[in-house]
Amino acid sequence: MASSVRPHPSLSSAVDAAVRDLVRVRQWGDTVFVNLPLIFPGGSEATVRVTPAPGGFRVDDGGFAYRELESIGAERSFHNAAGKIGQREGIEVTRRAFVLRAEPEELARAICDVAMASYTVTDQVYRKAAEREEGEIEDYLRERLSVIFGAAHVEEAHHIKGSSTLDWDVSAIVHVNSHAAVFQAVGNHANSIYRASSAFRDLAELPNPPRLIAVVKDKQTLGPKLALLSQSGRVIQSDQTDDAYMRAAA
Amino acid sequence: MTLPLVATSDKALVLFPGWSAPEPETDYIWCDAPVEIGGVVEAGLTLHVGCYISIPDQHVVFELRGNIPGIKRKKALMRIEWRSLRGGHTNRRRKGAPESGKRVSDTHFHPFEANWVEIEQRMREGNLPQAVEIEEELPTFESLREYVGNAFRINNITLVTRPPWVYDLFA
Repeated sequence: MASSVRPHPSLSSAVDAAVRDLVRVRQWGDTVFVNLPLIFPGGSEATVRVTPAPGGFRVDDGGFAYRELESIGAERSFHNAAGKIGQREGIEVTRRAFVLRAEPEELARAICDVAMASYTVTDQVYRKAAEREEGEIEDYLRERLSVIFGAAHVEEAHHIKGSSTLDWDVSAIVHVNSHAAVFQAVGNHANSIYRASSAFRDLAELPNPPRLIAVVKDKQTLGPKLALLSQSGRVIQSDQTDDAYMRAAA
Repeated sequence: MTLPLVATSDKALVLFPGWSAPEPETDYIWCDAPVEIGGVVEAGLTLHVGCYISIPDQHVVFELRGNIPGIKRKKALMRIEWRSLRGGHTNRRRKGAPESGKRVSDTHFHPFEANWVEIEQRMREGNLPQAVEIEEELPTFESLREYVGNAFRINNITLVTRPPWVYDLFA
């Protein structure tokens, strides 16, 4: 018996509409904006601006990547990160934008390259900003611990020897009653988590192990890595109450 | 002051510092106005407004920025984009969220509430990844400004003057 496959009544039109919406072009006077299907971390699309230039066109990203970074307070990272991408891809980088000059037959490639550079710099800086959070949590943590436990109870030194005899750099060592508590700021990126986890395992093997507390900015965003971290120590968020810090160190 | 309290409190601009000169490479003009709550100027709390001088009545961004506790960087707390040249916004996919993965038009609002995780007392990762459509007609800069004043709870938003757009009759 023959079987027939009936096409979904709205499949083609739905896909057509979605695809038509992937690239959009808008013109204002001598300026054309092109939206491309690369979604920035903020949810907007990579957009380039095309204007006439001697011998062809100027294609730039209108400073959109710079603006995206400005929204998360990371605009100072634009120049360095963009400079490396520009050098690699042969794209000029100004203080706030990627710029290419293209002849008509080079225009399509230029639009793609500028959009990709704009997206890449944003993606890279966002990732680095997440890594930097470890340092930021650490600064905040030291101030917080001094307030909660008293500066006299927070050691100046930031290293402690593990059972392997390895010397571990930690964020802070606090003396609470008769024992020590090690606080380690941990960022969301894998290296930070693995390093803290290894240090905690080594320190836990000491004959008189300190309390081990990982301080993260956001437990939820650690995902499954939170389970790994919690196998070797307690985990708190940097913005938790004084009481939570004291209970973790008890 | 907690971020939800900053978001929901009545606010006022301390002053309007005026529009910047256009950035030479982008034509972008902007202003950052300090914001106060109950007569206290909150550290780092500013209203950023920006647009392109040569593209009138398009791509205006109003963004409230503040310091995030626990980290040093200043971040956007809420944003309204009007006739954005970046072509709308696509919400990040999130399991169970009604707005997940949806696209909103070039005039939209990134409310604080949609980008705040109450149970964990934190902002969502990214740069205000959730946005909602603005259903109200906003035909002019002035109507947009009024909408922003209500949405951001800034009672003297009219201090922000109309951008010094350059109109090209042939554009």
